[in-house]
Amino acid sequence: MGWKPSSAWQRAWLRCLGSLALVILLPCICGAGSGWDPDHDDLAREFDSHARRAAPADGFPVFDEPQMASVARANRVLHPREWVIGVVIHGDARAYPVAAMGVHELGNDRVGGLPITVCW
Amino acid sequence: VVHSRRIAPHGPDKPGRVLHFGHAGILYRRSFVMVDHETGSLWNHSTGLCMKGPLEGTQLRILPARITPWQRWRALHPHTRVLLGPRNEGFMGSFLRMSTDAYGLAVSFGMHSRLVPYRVLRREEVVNDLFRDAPYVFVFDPRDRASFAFRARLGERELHFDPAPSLGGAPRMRDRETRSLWDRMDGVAVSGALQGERLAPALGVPWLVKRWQAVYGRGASFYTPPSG
Repeated sequence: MGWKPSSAWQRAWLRCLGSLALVILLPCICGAGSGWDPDHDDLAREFDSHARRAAPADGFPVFDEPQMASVARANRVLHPREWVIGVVIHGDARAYPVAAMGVHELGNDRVGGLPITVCW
Repeated sequence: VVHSRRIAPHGPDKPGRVLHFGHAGILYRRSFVMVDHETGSLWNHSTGLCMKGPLEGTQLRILPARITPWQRWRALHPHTRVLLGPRNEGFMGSFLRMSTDAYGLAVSFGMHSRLVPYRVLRREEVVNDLFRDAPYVFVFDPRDRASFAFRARLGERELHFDPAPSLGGAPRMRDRETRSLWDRMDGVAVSGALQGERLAPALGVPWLVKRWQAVYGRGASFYTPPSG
């Protein structure tokens, strides 16, 4: 009683619809739309499939235990409302202005005796 | 994000060591990749997780840090030292010009992370949440749009907070259990039964929401306001 495709173009059209449905539904069925699973997926494989080179290695001026300025000197350079990344370790306080971190992106430092890395 | 560069011993032939990081020039899920010069391993700078190389799977310890206006930081820490240098914002600095609605504040444990969107935090100002069965309170300072997170527990006592009127410009909150009043951004009880008590800071990291979702994948979960 059901409808059956009677011509070649109807069969081709149905195949096309079927493929389209598969393309749309498969990622949902497999869970690909919800991202990777850090508990079960292989880290290096996940990394390789989503990493791409964007700049030469060490193409940014990463700092390494830089000279730091006093508050008095910083006041002459920083706007009062300028954003800084602040960290305190064992009573040793450091401020890394976001405008400067935008240039360095990354730095190695030692604060309160602890070796740290600061990233933006 | 601030991480410790010291990794603990992780095997009989893998002693603890201090690493020095450089920029690998690689983007992974919109996030740049660090390389340690000791082993050449590749690390996600946002999560501190080593993704590839001899140290694969090693997690750097995230350290408490906050993003705050310079005037607030120098008032809290008058002897702070400051990094001065080139100041043209660079590539990453352009994110500062994005709407704050694109951001959220996240606390994480390994590759599991909980995020409160800024649009929610700005509206509620104080958000109570549970992450991995531990209570947290996320707070917002409308003066300078700064945000922070604390562990909402004192000893065995779990606390829940509501916003309270500011005093002298300082935003406050009140706990429901003892009605004590707290400095919202310092996490210190300023009056009431718990006066002088201090909440432990949580490692809250501001994230671009889309990047956070991509990096944590299925380990990412959003705060959802209680219904009703």
